[in-house]
Amino acid sequence: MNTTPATPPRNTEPTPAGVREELDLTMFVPCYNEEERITGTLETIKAAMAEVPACTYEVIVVDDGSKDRTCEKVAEFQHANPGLPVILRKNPRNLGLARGFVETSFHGRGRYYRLVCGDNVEPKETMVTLLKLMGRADLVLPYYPVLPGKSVVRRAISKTFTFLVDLLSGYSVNYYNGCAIYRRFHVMRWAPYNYGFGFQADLITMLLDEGATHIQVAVSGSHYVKEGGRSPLNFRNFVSTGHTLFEIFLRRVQRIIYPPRPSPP
Amino acid sequence: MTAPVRQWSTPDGIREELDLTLFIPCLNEEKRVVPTIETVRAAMDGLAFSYEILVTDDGSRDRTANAVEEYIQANPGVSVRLHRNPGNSGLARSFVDASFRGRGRYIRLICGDNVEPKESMAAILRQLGQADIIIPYYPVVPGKSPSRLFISNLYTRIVNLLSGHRLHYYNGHPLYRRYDVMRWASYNYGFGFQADLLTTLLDEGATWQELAIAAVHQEKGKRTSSINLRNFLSVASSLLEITSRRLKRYFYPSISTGLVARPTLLTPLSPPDPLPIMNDATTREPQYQHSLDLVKESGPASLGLMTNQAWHDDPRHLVFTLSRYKFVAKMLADRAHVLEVGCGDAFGTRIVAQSVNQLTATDFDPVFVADVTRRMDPKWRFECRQHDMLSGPFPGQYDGAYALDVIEHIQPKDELAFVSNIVKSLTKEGVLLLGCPSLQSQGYASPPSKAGHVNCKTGETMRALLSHYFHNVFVFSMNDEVVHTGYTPMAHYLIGVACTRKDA
Repeated sequence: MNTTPATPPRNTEPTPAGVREELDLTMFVPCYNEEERITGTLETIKAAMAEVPACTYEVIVVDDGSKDRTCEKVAEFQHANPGLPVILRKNPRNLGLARGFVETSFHGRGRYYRLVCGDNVEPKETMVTLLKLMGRADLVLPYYPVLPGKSVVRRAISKTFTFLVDLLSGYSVNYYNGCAIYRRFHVMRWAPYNYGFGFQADLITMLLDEGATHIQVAVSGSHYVKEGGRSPLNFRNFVSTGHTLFEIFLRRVQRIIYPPRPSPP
Repeated sequence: MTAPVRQWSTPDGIREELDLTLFIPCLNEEKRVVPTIETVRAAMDGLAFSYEILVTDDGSRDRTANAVEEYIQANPGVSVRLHRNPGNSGLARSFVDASFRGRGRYIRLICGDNVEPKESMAAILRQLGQADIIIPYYPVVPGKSPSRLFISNLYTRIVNLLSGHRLHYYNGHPLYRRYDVMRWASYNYGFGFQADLLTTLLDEGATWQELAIAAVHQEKGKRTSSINLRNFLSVASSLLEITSRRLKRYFYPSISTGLVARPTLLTPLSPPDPLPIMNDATTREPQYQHSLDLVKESGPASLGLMTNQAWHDDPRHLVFTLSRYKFVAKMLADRAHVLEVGCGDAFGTRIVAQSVNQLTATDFDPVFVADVTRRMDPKWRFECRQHDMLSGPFPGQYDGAYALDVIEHIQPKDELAFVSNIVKSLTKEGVLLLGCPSLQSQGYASPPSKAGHVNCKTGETMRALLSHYFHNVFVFSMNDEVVHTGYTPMAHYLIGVACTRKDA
């Protein structure tokens, strides 16, 4: 584990009275046609949580309009593990990752919030590493020095995106599209408008603008390309990412012209 | 213009304990903030809604905050909270922040300069629950200059043109669902903020009702003009967002129906008005006249939050739920004082209360406790208190206790603490009944009825749990309304009856 220097931890920000916090962590597991992998994901979560026994948690699996047996697989897992706090929510059709991420933050009850991809791409050890850092800062941002399975083109696009966000925002974050640990209330309060590829960059830069503290953690992961999956390289994502970058830049200009606003409530 | 009511359930992560949060932002309002609070109280006096007042001092340089603090001290019975922004955050940002601090199901902004008459306020708030958004507009605004009127009308027309919606006014102070403000609040905190929020909600399928209201336009002495470069840029940004959303809806129609994620009907917290029944009406057959007289005297009974939902979604469900209460009533008949743990809306509690001498019901959720208290019938009065059994035993000694449909929501690691705390409140002769869906039934249960079930029992695990604390444990099976001693793996529901405490 390698954590980069961070601003001093700040975990004392009170949760507003209107937000219910009853657990340490809400894990959001989005699924779209993951019948082959969702059980593995839940098993990985179960194994990881066994290594952080003090952490109270819930797992909210959101089936994003799958056409396969994803829901049945989750139900079978629930049946076989009645003691585990696994909740299944079903979107009547595909609403997309980012929207599901924001919607679920309102349904969770954890103090912290994390996305765990439904395709079981994250090793248990990575999950445990990150969970043990939960609470050290408002944002725990993972990055992947090596990501086996990711093509050269994808790596180049990813690096370009990170470079552009850093340039426009003025921050220096190694990776914006990892599965960070957030304060759940921050996701609710500063939910991004744009639901495309750049939604996490929008959210992270917004939180940094608002004075959130962060640490960056080097972890291992792998990249998985689902057979028949949709490519993220399409016109809609391109426009959405352009919009996100514009918003990030606009906020920086605003910060320059108008002095920083006070911290969140 | 009215659209049909289409309310949805509140997500679990939101705390809703009251009907209404009234948010009062203030900037240098030391003379007017207390009269504003008084006006709000006067408006609320005639309405049967529970509410709180949140005052935000947005960086005042005068004694605004002190005036509010003095008011709070002088009126301890009034639910007023003060928040001080460290600097001037602006109206829109303070409004969004307040939506996170509030605990009401609905929220409305009331300006801190006491400009809104009590009657207008009451007229808007009276519509609470009639639609997702109640949008006031002002056909006549005496005192507003022609140039301001012109700008205001022009702005409304532009927003209507760009958004494709058709509202009379975007800058009134609508009554919103608080969750909607939290979920869909805009980043743009300028003059165009409300138009952005309203059009987003309408894009998302929210229902609305417009209401013509009488207004008074009040010019204060020295005040920053709203016509400046920052507001101009902010409004342009809002208009750009509104246009961009409309284009998105046009090109990608599937993205604009967020309500699909939250379609459940929600019961208003406050009871509806009594049914209008003619005072001189009589039934054709005299034996039914008492039914009519009872409603005339006391009004119709209200079902309660959960029962109302069951009656709406799955009426049959009510029958087997109530049959469990009847079984408990038979088992605990003539007990001196019985404790119910996890009463929910306590609709079935009356069945047990009918058989025992005294009953106290508890639930960990204050929303349900408030609902039970509000609906309490003087003829069937019982004590209802908020208590989380995981936090410790409930005070008092009881010779009977029961918890129906509770243990399956308790994490297995906490179940011993839960039962042990109930047992601590029992006398040595006390009897405990626990009821929950069987583990085997979960394969057939619908997703709503399974939600939150983390600890359903088999016959063996129910017996084992109760045997920790009692010498005698009897496990009964239930299928629909029938209680029997049949094979527990085929039971839909299990009830464990335990007596003779091991530690007594």
